[in-house]
Amino acid sequence: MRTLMPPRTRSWLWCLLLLAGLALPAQGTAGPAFDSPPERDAAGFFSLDWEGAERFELEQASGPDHEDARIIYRGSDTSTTVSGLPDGEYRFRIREEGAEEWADETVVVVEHHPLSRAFLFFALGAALFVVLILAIARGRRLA
Amino acid sequence: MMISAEALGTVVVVATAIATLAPFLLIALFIRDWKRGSLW
Amino acid sequence: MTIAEDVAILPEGIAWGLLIAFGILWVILGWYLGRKNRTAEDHMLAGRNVGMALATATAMATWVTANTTMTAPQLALQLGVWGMFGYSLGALGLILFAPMARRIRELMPQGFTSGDFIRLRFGKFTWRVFLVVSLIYAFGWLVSLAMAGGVLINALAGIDYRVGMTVILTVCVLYTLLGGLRAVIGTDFVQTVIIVLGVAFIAWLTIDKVGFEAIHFNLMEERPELLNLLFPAAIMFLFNNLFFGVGEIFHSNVWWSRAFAFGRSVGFRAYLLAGLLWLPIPIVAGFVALATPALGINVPVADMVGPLVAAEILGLTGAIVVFIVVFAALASSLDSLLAATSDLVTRDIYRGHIRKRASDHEQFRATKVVVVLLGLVTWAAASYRGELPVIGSLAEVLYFTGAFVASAIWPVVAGLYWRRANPTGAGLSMVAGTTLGLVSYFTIGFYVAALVGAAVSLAVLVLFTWLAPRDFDWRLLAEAEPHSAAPVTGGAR
Repeated sequence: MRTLMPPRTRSWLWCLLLLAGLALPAQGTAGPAFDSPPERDAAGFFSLDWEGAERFELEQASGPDHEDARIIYRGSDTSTTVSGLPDGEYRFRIREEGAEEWADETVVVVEHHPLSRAFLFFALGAALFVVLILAIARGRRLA
Repeated sequence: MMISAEALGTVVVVATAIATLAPFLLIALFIRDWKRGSLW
Repeated sequence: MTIAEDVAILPEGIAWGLLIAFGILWVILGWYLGRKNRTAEDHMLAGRNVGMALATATAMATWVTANTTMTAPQLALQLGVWGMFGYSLGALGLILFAPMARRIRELMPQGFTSGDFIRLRFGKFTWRVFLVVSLIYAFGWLVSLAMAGGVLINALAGIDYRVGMTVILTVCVLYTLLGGLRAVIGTDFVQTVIIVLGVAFIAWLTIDKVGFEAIHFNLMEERPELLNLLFPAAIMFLFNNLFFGVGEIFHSNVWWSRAFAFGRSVGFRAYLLAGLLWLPIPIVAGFVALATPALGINVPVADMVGPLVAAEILGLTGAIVVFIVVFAALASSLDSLLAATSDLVTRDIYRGHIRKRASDHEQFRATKVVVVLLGLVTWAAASYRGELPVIGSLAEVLYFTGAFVASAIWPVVAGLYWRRANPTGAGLSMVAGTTLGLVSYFTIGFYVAALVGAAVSLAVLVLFTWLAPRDFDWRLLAEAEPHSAAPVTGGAR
């Protein structure tokens, strides 16, 4: 990302950042981080955004012991679209490509709408559709 | 209940076949209208 | 937001070449087709005698928008197989409008806009509510198309958002201005052929290079719900999408002006055939998104999935095909919307509210001024993208208007077929349907807003008519020139 700040402001900022870095205890804040990830989703799709490095590795895992952990993306994009996930708790971790430690992690809970609610809307839609067809068909006959 | 690879394939192939023929149908209609002088 | 650096798939020089070449082609074609327009009727309704081929193609092209070519893949990626099947149910809007188009043509041989109909049928209150709903939708769609144009050109070729948006909008305003509805319909024919062939080409190559076994296997591994026929959100979405499409078509002047413009026996057959031919397109355009796991590509933003897959499979050729298809799809909808909205503003705002005795010549001139004004306002709104909060992705912007349009379905259907429909009830049904539809958009999800809007408006309209039925004489609709000196008579049967 390019910024359009004049050089002087930029150097001031660097000083501030440096000061902040010295003041705070080292906390693994270096490296990439997720940018406001979702917490829950009812349709199994959402997007994840991150920033903080040139190239990244993104890992997805689920289940209590994260047995199925695997890298789902490796490259320089700063977001991805996740979709088609069944109900469950998913852990995503991000790090700079090649780094040892994971820099940030987030958990997204996917809980689909209950099928009963889905079919309620489906039935409502079907009923309205039948009314629409009948209204047009009857209207045509009478017209 | 998952859709099978065959079912998905059949639907997509049929849809693509119809879509491929559609422009030719439109062009045929255009020529017909043009010959009849009923384009507009 | 600039995604250009991440995913630009087409060299900027080639993109400019294509933009200029096709831009010039559309403008010249538009000028040529409209050069003999002399009256407002010629300009707005192409002489009221459009034949079968052009009528079918314009209905198809207008209904295939950037939203189809980009959103169908997006929905397939998000909601799976039902997402794309559900999107293709949008075709039912065209098919169900077929009998209505015939009735509209019979009832109102001299009609100009959907606003004319609502005013004559339901009176001023409902007419004004309808105009608000209709103009919010038209303007929302215009701005979202212009924005889509800028975003897509930026994403595909790295051309600056505002530059790309300005070029597309200028080209469309120019040829709509020069040629009116004739230009819109004529270019639509060429654009339909390009879009459908392009989409089919990409689909065949995806089938050939990836294959259904690989697509299916990888989806089961990584995104299994996309293959699930009992995917809850997708099931909720099915009829929602249907009613959204039906609402857009039934109320919008884009489709009414075509009903008035198509030849006497053409409307029914043209809308029916266009619907049938449109039905497979979202599946063809959408299924390529299901190949992403098999191809192992990352999708940074959901609405870019279509172009990403095409570029992955076809390289530069794919990028060029996608660019041309997207440009054609954008132009074919943008021009129709510009023309139809300017008609609505000219007839129902300028002539209906401001200058009630405007002559034909003044109306002719006003239409042209309004097209330019609409273009400018759209440009200004689309320029501020990013500085105003924009509601999510393309699909979400699209479904936001779902609550508005779906609540206009019943007033239109009842207006055409139900003699006793209560006029005030028709107006209030739109208000109530829109309100509750928007509430459900924010509380449940984008995939139910239209459905709720349609259900509520039906309930309100039926309730009012049941309590206070009114009688209507259909012949009143034939007198579509209430302000002119000599009322037009006859033709209602």
